[in-house]
Amino acid sequence: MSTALVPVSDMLVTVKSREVQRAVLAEMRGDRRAAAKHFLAAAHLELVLADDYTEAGRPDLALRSGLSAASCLWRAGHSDRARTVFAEMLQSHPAQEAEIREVVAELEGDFPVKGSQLGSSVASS
Amino acid sequence: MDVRLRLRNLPEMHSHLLWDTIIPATAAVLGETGATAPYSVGLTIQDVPGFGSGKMRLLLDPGRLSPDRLAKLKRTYEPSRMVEMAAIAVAGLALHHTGGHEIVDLALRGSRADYLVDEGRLLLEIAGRSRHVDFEAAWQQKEQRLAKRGGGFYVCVTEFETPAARLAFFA
Repeated sequence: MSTALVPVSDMLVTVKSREVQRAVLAEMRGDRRAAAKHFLAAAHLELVLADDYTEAGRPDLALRSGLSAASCLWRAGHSDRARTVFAEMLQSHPAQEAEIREVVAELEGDFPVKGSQLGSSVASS
Repeated sequence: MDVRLRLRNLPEMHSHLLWDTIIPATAAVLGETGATAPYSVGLTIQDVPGFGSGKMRLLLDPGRLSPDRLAKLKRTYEPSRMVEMAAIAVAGLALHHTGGHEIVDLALRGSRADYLVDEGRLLLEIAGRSRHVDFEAAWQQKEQRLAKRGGGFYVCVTEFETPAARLAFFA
C-alpha cells in the first residue's frame, strides 16, 4: 500500500483526503454547512494522523498533518481551536516557525475572521 | 507521441481521491475549448522519475456524460473552480502515464491543497489557468513555493486555452 513506509492507517489517510476534498468542493459551491462538516471531520482525522506520524518517527508528516488540521479547523469556522493547534505546533516544531506563521498569515488573508487576534496570539505564544 | 487516456480511469490510477466531480468538470472545461473529443492536451515532461523528459500529446476521452449533468455542474461551480478541478485531472493522468506515479494523500495548507505522490510521499503542487498568458507566472509561483520547503517535489501546471500542461520533478 502507498503508506507502507510508516505504520499509519492507509484507510485513515484515504478517508481524511476524501473529507478534505468534500469540504473544498462544498466550499467551492457555496455550501457552508457541508463545508464546515467535512472540514471538521478532516481536522480531527489529521490530528490523529499527526500523532501517529510523530510516533512513527516522521516529524515532517506530523507537521504537515498538524498544519492541515489547523487549516481545516479555521475553514470550518473554528478559528479559536485552530489558534490553539498552531500555538502547540510552534512549541513542538520550533524550527518550522516561519513555515507555520506563513500558513497562519495565508489563512488570515484569505479567510479573515472578524475580530481575529490570531497573528498576535500566535506571536506571543 | 500521442497517448489516449480515459478520464474515467482516474479513480483506478489514484484511488485515494474522489473523482466524481472532477471528471465531469474536466470534460466541461475541455469541451469549452471548442475542440471535439478526444481532447488534445500538449504535455511537456521534465525529469520525471521513471520517464525522464520529453513531449507528448494527451488525447483525453471524457466518456459519456449527460448534458444535464454538465449543465448543472456549470451552474454550481465558478469557471475558475472548474479549471482548478480540470488541472487536478490532467496532473493525475500525466503522473500516472509518466511512470505510474500515484497521488496518495491530500491535505490542506492554509488556503491551498497539498498533495503527496507515491510511497516516497513527495510534494506536488497543481495549478490550472484558463489563459495561456498566465501559465509561466503560475509555474514560477508553484516552483518557488515548493523550493522553499525543500526535498524532491513535483509541479504540474495546465492552461486550458491552448491547452497545454507541464509536469516536472525537481530533485
